[in-house]
Amino acid sequence: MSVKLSSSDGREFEVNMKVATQSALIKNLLYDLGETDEAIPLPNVNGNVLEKIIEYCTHHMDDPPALNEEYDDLPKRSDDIEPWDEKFIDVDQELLFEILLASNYMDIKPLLDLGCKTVANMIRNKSAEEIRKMFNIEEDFTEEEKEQIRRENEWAEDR
Amino acid sequence: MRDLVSALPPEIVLMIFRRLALQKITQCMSVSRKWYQLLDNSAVLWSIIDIRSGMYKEEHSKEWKSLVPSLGEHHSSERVFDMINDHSIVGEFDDASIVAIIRRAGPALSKLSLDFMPQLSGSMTSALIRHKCTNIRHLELRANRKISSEALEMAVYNASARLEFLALSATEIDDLFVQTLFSCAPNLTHLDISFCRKVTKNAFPFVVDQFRVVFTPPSNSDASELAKRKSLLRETALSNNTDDPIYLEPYSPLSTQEITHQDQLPNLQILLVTGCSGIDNAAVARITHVFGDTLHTLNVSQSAVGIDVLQAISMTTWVSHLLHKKPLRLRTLEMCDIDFRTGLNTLRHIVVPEGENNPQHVWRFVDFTLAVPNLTSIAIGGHNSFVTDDFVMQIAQVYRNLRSIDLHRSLRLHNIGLAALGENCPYLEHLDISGCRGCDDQGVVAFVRGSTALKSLVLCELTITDESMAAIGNRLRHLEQLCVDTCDRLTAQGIRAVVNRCRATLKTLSFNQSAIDDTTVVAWCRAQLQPGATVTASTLQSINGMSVFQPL
Repeated sequence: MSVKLSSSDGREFEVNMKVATQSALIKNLLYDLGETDEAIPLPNVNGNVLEKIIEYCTHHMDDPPALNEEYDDLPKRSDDIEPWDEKFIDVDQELLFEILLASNYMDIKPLLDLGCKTVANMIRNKSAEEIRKMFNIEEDFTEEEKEQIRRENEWAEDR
Repeated sequence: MRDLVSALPPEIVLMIFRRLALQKITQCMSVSRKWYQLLDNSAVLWSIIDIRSGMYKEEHSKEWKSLVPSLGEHHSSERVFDMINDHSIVGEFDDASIVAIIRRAGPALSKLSLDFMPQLSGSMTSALIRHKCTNIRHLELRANRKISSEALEMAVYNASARLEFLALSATEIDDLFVQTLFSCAPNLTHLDISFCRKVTKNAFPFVVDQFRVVFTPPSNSDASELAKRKSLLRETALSNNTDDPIYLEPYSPLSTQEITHQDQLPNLQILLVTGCSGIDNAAVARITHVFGDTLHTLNVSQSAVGIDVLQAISMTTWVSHLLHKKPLRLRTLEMCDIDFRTGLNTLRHIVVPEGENNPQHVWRFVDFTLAVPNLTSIAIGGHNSFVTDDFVMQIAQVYRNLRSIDLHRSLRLHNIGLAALGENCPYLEHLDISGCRGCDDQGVVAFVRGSTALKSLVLCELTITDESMAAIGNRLRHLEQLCVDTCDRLTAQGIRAVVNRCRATLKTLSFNQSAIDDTTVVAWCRAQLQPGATVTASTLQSINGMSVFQPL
């Protein structure tokens, strides 16, 4: 059984039901709509990104459903990315950003996690200056603000 | 290109930064104004303040980790204080940095874990009140010597409505402080007040009749102190939280000595009073009476209790029985190192002097087993002279479901007692008989014949040989942890025998200071065991005049 999905730029994708229902959004839609031949529109996701997301869901279609994680206080691990996922998510920043937004919108928890882990890992071993460079950010503090932040956050400085 | 991170929706930003340590998040605040605002306003990110998970730099956290387990091993609270002074971590952490984090977290603060921080003072605790941190569920402020007992009391009182976990070991809190908790912390399940030298039995209420439990009435000097503290607490609660609905009508702690059964920390499950020199048998009787329905773990190691505490517990339950209560739920009882004052005791028939609520009574061990039928874990090690073969046999015969027993340094335990454990307790998962000089190969071999479910075995300082190792390897199919430090008759052959047979399950293996000083053995063990298993071995060496363990 298959489902049709249509992207914001009008591209249509026909995918296996198991692939499509990894998105909780689509799963709920199908549950509400019942069986349908019409393509499900995804107005927030463009064709390139949807293609990428389908690639991910196809690879993971036989995964056991993730445990329903309650909001918990534990710090999350970020060093447990599978090799295939790591290769999959090794994309330019713009696309990574689009995947994050799309997986959030389509409610694909494992993919959203993967994206967040990747961004966290990008930040983890970098200084503020390196982060600015990486994301093309300009430092816009006044000297006074800088001094105040420095005082407040002295404990966290790398020395 | 644009700033991708700050363009993301806030929920995704949160998901990203929750994976980073507070130190890193703090560094990220200096990236740009936008990042600063983004992170400064994400209270949830700051809701867990725990020096163990990445607030401290690596070198500090190592030092800290080495300090914590030793808290339980020292013999008096004085010793612990000395140790804390010796090891004080004087890092860059001061009040100002903690206060900044507390401000960012505000009411979202759910966990505050700041042990051993001598540089913290009262301004940290007043920040908790000022920034309305009333939803804290987990609070650990062990051994912070500069925070006064009053400041601590106010902070705890202010945060107590949701409090589930409270650890205030090695602080100057007193009986009245604990009494305050009774009236204001209904959700408390874990209370750690070990090494608090001012806590005595009067911290806990006792029963006058079927319906009333009362705290010991304060003496005259206490009464004025009590009134002072009561008004202080009220003022703080009112002045700081007037717009907070929960606190419009503050609890009135200490307003009466009489409390009802509902007020008694109705969820308390774990109570640690380790090393409290004021906790005696009468205190334990009160504790088991008040918390008998919920308490499942009680640690009175190194306190002032004696072996007759078992009698006190069974007497309490005898009283409870008259009130149609059930037996105690207690599953874990730890009373190591309690016998250093009392000298020899014989257990079979103790004639107990008249005490609180106790008629004269000849006590038998069976009374205790009837009162506490569910015990699965007992720790009675540490030079307790009442731990004889006879005593261990009685335990083994009654508690056949025992999962864990700690008998370390029980000098009156011999092979026969050990064999009885193996024979009677097939579900035993943890055994510690370190330093039991009366036990050797014969006992260990007899023991492993019965207790084949064993997962963790600690056999330090014994005269066992490879014969024991062979038996362990042959019998124990679930062994995960084996510790044979300072067993100097063992050879590499014995270690190999165990590793060969238990390689699928063994996760931790340690043979420090044994006769084996060959690095190839260690390498071989690591290669045989599953990835992730730890093998520790070391020899004692002298470096710059100091003896240090040198890992192999």
